[in-house]
Amino acid sequence: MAVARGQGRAPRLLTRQDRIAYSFLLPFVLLFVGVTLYPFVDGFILSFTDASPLAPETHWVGLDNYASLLLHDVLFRSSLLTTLLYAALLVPAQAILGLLLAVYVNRKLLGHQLSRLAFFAPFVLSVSVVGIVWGWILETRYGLLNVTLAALHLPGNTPWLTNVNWVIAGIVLSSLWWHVGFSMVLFLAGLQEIPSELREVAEIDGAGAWQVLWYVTLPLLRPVTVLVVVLSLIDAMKVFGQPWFMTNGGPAGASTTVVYDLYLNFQSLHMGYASAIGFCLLVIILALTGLRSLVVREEAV
Amino acid sequence: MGATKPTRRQALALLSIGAAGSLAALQSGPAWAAPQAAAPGRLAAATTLQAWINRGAPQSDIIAQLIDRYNGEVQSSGVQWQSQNVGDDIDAKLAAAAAAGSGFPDAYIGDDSLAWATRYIQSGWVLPLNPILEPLGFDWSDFAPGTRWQLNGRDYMLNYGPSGFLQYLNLDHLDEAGLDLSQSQPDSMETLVDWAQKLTKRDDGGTITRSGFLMTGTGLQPTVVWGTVLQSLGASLVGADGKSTNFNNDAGRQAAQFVLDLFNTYKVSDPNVSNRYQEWLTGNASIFWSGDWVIGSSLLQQGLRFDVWKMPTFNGGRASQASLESMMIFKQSDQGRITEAGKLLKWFVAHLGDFDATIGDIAPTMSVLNSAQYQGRVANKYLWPVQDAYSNHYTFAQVSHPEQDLNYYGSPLLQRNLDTIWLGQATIQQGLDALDRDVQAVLAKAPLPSFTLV
Repeated sequence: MAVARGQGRAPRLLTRQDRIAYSFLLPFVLLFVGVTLYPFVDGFILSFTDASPLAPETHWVGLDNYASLLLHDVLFRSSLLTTLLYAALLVPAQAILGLLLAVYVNRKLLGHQLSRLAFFAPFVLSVSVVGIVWGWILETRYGLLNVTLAALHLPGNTPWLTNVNWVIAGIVLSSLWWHVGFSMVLFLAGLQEIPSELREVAEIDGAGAWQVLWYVTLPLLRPVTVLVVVLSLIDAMKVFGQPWFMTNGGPAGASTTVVYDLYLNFQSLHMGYASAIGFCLLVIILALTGLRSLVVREEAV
Repeated sequence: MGATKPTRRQALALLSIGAAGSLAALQSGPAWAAPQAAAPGRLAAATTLQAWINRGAPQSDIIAQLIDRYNGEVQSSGVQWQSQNVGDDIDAKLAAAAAAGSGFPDAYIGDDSLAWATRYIQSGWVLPLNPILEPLGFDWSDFAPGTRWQLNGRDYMLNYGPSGFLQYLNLDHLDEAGLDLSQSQPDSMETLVDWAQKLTKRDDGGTITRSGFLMTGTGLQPTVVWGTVLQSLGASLVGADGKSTNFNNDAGRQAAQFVLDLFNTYKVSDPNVSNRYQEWLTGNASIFWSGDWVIGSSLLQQGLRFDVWKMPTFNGGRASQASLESMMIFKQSDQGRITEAGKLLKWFVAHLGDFDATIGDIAPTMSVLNSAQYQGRVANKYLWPVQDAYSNHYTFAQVSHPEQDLNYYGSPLLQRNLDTIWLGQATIQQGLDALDRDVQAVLAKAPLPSFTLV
C-alpha cells in the first residue's frame, strides 16, 4: 500500500512488555553510563586540557598533549616500542603453547585432569604474587630458572631482569606462565567442538597425526585462534603489573611500558597528559586488533 | 519517502552517549578545586577526625597505638581520631581528595614529607604550623639544631624522626675477614673499598657470590651512591639558586666513576643484583647503605648480627642523606578541625619518648634525646654515629620538585639516565649530559623550592 508523501509510520507506543523490559535494563544502563561511559567521555575531554589537581585552573590546550606525546616525548616512544616488542614475543608464544597444551590435555591421557588444573592454576593468581615470585625465579645468581639451567649443563647465568637485552624476555616468561592456562582453556573448548568424525575420516584416508592437526584441526580452530590472539594482544598492550613489581621499569627504562609511563604521569599529577597517553594507547590497540581482519579470515571452514 | 526514524536500540545508544557527554561537558571550572577557605567556628561535639599514617611496621603500629591513647585522654571532649594506613598511594588519595573538594586528612603522620610534599605545600593544601601550634603553647625551642626545615620562614612539617644514612655491616662477615669495627672503621672511601675487597667472595670463575659492598646493578641504589658521593664532594643535583644544575662537572664525573669502579675495577659489587634487601637479609652482602629506618623495620626483627657506622668521607667531605619523618596538617573548611589537629601534633611531640623508645627513629627534641628512656633503648646503640650528622651539618635533605621527582632515592628520571652509565650503554659524560638536559627541562618549568635548615 503506497504511503502518501509526508506521512510516516504512526508512532508506536510502548507496550507494558516494553516498559518491563526497559526497567530491567535501566540499572545496568545507569551503572554503565556512570561508571564506564561517563569516565570515558570525561577522560577524552581531559586529554585536551592541562588538568592537574595542583593547578588552580584547567586550560584547554587542544591537540598540544597529543602533539607533544607523538613528536617530542622520547619516553613515550621508547615505551611504545617496548610494549610492542613484549606483545610480539608473548602473543605468538601464548597462542602456540596454549594450543599445544590444549591438544595434550584433550588426549585424555593418564592425569589429564590434574594437568588441566596445573596449567590453569597460575591464571587465578594476582599480578603482585606473580611479579614477586618471578622476581625470585629470575634472579641471576640463585634464581630457580638459572640454577635449573646450570644443572642441565645449559647457560645458567642469564641476567633476566638486570640486562636491557634480556629484561623483556624475562617478563614475557612470567606472563606466559601466568596466562597460558587461559589460552589453553579456550583452545580446549574449541577442540571439543570439533566433531570426531572429521578426524576419523582423515585418519581413514591415511593422514598422520600432524596432518590431521594441520589440515583438519587448525582450520576448524581458526575462530578460537583469532579470539586468543586478540585477547592476548589487548592484554599485552596493557601490561603494567609485571614491570612494576619485577623491575620498576628498568634497567635504564628498558621495561617501561606505555601503561607504566601513563602511571608515572598520573603519579606526577599530569592528568590531562596522562589521559592523552591512555587514548593514544586505545587507538593503537584498536588499530592492531583491526589489522587481524586484513590478515585472517575469521569464518570457520 | 519520509526520513527514517531511529530504532529503539539506536535511540537507547544515542541517549546513553548524550547523557554521558552532557555530564562531562557540564563540568564547569577546574576539574579540581582547592580546599575551601576555613570558616570560623568551633568544632561540633562528637567529631571524628582522620589521621593518615604513612610508615611501615612497626612504626605505623606504634603511631596508631599512640593515637588510640590520645583518644582515651580526650574522650570527654567528644573528639575522636581515626587512623588509617595510606601507604604508597598517598598521592592518588590526595588527588582524589582535591578532585572531590574534601576528604583531606586532618593530620598526616608519615615518612619523609620533605621529599614529596613540596607540591602540596605550594598548592596551599598543607598549612603552615606556626599559627596553629603557637597559640597552643607549643615549644619549638626543644627541637635539636638541624631538625626543622622551613619554607619562607615557616614550618610546614613537624619533624618527629629525623633519619640519616648509615653503613650497615654484617658482623659475621667481618669476623670471617678478620675485621674489627671497634678497632677501625670504613670511615673513608679508601678504607671502605679496602674492607669491601676483603669481604667480597667470588667463585672459581670470578663471579661475585657475595658482594663486599652491596648495590643493585641499576636503579635506586647506584643512584643513591652517586648522589652521596656527589654531595660529599660539595656538589648537588640542583644549584643553590634552585634553577641550575650542579652535577655536570668534575664532582659528578668523579662520583659516577666511583660507582663504575665498584663494579668494574674494585669488583666488590655484583651488577646482577636486582633486590638489595633480598641480598642483605639472605647474607649475600656485607656492607650496604640505607637509612636508619632499616634498623627497626628489618634488622632488629630479623635478628641479624650487624652493626653500623657513619657514612664515609670522599676527598675529606662527608654527606649523609637525611629524611624527616614528619607530621602535617591539611587544609579544612572547619577551623575547629585544624585546631584539634594541632592539639594532636603537640601531644604527639610531648610523648615522642614513648615512640622513639621502641623503634629506631632518632628523636628530634632535646628533652627526649637526654632522657634515660631514650638513651637506654636498643636501637640507640646503632644510631649514635648518625646523631652528629645534624649538628655537624653533613646531612642533606631531598627536596621534592613540584613537577617531577628529583630525589636520588627513587626518581625515575635520574635512574633512567644514570642507568645507561652503569650498564655501559653511555659514557659518563653522555649520561650526565642527558640527565642535565632532563633536569634543566624540569627546572625550567619551576625552580626548586628553597628550604632552610634550622
